[in-house]
Amino acid sequence: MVAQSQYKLNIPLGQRGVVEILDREEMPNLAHEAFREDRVHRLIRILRISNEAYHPTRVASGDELAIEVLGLRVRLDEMSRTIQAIQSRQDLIDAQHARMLKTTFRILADEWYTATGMLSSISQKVTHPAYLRIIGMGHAVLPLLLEELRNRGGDWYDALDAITREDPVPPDAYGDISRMKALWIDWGLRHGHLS
Amino acid sequence: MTSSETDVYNCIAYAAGDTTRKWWPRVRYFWPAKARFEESLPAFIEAFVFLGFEPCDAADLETGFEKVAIFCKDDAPTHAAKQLPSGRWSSKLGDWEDIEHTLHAVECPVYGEVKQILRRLVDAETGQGP
Repeated sequence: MVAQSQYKLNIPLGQRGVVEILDREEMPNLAHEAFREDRVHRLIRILRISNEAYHPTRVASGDELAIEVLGLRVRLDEMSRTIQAIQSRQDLIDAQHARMLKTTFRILADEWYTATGMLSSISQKVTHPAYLRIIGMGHAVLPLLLEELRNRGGDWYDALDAITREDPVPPDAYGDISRMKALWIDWGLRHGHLS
Repeated sequence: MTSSETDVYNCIAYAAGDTTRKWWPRVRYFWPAKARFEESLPAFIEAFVFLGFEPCDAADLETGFEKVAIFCKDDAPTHAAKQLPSGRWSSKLGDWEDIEHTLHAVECPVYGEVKQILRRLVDAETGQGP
């Protein structure tokens, strides 16, 4: 068997290259032997040994083999580890994105409360730039928005409607803030946006 | 300050005597059915007229009457206040607290200025409107 960890190939699939044999004793038969490059086994065909025709008995330590990579094979456990590594990285990216989203929302919401808290005009409140930017954050901000409504209140109803394209508030509840809030919180719980 | 902050009602509702909901001529908020559904001074006057108010000129305390004041900025209604039995006025500052003040004390770049006073008769015994 090839001492896999000794050989490093950087030859793409379908291409040819050269590898130096380090230890002949470990290579009784090089035909279709797999060299490992990172976690990928390369299925190879040996073409020549040091510019002479290949024969298994002719391989000696120090020889250079011209090979052609015929295929790639990844062991399932190695693939699983690779996938896990990719997933971990993706989780990290997702976590960073979630933090940024939360921070941005917090800044905009606080700005909105400060700027519009004393207003009675609903139109002025829901057209404030910070409010509109929160709407622009789209579905991703929905859990944060509903949590804000639950904990702090505020005229977030236009924003919720704009983002979800839904409105659980019936006309007979219009203006009844306690009821409107309860309906939206219930909506959020049923749709998995709130815990 | 006469009460804590709350987002349950706004200044228009408060001036109209309603502390259970927010009033504004916009979908998802309460607005009297008989008043014009628009953000204009005439629409806001109508909203109070249907509560028994009538436009008047003076903001002075008058025995037997309660008064409200509508504020506008650039002809758009922004705020309303109601007169207390003492003659001073009371306002709900958006989602913030209710406060007691002189009429023109809350005129500012946000609220604009007083544009219309309205009054309605109050019950002689209770001192309250209908």
